[in-house]
Amino acid sequence: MVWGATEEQPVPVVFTGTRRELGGMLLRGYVLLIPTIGLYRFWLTTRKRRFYWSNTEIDGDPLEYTGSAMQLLLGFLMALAVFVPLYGLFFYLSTQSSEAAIFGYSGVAVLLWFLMGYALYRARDFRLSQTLWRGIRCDQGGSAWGYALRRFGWSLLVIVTAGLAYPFMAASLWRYRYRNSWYGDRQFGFTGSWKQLARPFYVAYLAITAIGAAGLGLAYAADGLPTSGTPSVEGVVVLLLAAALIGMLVLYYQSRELSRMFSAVQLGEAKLTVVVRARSLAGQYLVFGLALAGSYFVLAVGGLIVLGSVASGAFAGGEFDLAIFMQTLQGSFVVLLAIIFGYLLLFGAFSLMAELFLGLGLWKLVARGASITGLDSLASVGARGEDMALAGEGLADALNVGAY
Amino acid sequence: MGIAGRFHDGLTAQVHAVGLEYVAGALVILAADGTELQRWPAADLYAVPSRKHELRLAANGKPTGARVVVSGREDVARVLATLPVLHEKRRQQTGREIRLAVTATVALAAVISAYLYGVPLLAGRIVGLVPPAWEQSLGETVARQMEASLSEGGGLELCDNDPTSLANRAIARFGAATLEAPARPSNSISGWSSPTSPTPSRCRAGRCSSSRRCCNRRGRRTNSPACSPTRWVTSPTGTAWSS
Repeated sequence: MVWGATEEQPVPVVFTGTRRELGGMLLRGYVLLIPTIGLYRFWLTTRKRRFYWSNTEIDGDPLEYTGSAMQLLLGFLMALAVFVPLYGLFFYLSTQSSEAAIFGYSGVAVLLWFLMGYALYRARDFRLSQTLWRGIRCDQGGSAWGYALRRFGWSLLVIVTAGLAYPFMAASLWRYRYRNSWYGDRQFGFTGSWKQLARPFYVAYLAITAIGAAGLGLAYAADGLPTSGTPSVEGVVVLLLAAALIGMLVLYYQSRELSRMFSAVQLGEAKLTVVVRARSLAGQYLVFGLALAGSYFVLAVGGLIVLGSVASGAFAGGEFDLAIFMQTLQGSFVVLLAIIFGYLLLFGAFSLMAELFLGLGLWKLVARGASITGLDSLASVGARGEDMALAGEGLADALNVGAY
Repeated sequence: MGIAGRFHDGLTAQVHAVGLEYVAGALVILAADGTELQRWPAADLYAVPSRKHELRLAANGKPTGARVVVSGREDVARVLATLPVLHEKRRQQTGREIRLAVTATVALAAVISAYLYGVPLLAGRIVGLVPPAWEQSLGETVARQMEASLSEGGGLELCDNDPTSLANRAIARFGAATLEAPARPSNSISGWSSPTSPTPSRCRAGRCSSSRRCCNRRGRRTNSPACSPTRWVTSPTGTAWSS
């Protein structure tokens, strides 16, 4: 807060970015991915983070992301040192007997699940260390291996208990992450516990179990799950309704976890409060679905026009002839190129809509639902040295577990 | 200049509302009461990425987080007009990033090219280093996997157990032709008959080689349709056929 303020009020977090600005950046980035054989994604990720960070304002001062694409690229190259031997192992396993291959692949899957925990913690460390607010850098301490072991151990317990241990796992991991986070020379605190998550989780758990069982039972009775032939319309509708209700319950729990766990974060006398509503989360998914359907409709129309011109024989007579189309496909490089380009457009449209409506949507929901009390106490926070050892979350990028 | 801004010294989280002036080639940062807080030489200044209508300035030699922040389109334009060095440094930074991206792309393209063209070139040399026993084992594993996937565990049915039948001779010729290569250590594929090592096909002028191509007068293979397939010099089984 600027000097001169006399009374402490909860200071809201403000997000000033627009969907249009992000959309333009992403479109440009997707186009540049093609001539750079995908390497531009490190620059695109960097620009995206700068957009999110610089538009998140706390008491008049936005966050600042100081990371660079070079760091991400170097981190990824270092992560290849882990993955090249793994791929060699995959190749070797494919030459062995089926039993050895299954055993080997299972072992690698377990190893990757463990490594994901390490990658997630290191990625968070990198992002925090590249975050400034009012000129002071954040940081993360603790041990990535310790976090990975915790996460792995808890996940085994969750599996053994059919998910019932999840609130304990979630609270433990949130606590480890935030108690090892720093803003300058001031350490974050975390007061959350499994008790804050237990009720929403178990309510959702029981409801999902009941709805799932009822949905499957009703769908089976309505011939929605036949062993052969096509399922009935009524059965499919029942399954879709059950899936939608389960989705709403998942969002209900997610909103509670975000709200309660973020609201347990403290930084000395400064306290964070976050309110995220389940209906807001559901609204984001609804808008995402509509936007995706709209974009796919536009692409479908465009695709028909393009294919109609390059493979006109398949559309002669007003009807589509698959046999002629396949012949054209085999004989025409242009048609093949059009198909490949169309596939890339479909994939790009999905990524774009997901980022614009789900990624940006969630960030805005959390930012706009957040407020901080006791902000004046942070004026005395001092700077610590920069963490120079970080090359940039390569493993998280390689394992595709990074967020934002 | 007299432009309003916010100043972070990078040592503590205090923020100061300041006024900015440009004096004798330096950006002067003035506190609210007019006292000079810091003076940053223009040559040391650079802009860090920021949001729209905001300019965040840092300086070489200052703490990592030291920033001067100017907001508003007009004020930002005034600062940029007064400090053309910022444009130049931004241009240089963009150039560096482009060069890095291009270099990385060229390197990746080289790796891909090495994979697409280099590996087949090396394959002929590498195959001689592969132990025959490993090849045999690999072939048996592949045969088992194919058998399992194609027959769903029921085992492959033997269609024809006569090694001299037309079908089995065709398969044998195909197998021998596939394995036909100089200095090849092994020519056996599990489950396939290959009774003798294939003799390298030779091309005599006017006669067909074992690869069913005619040989011209220079002793080179051609695809002339006039060449009768029975006029073979050698066959994969070592039997010379004649028309």
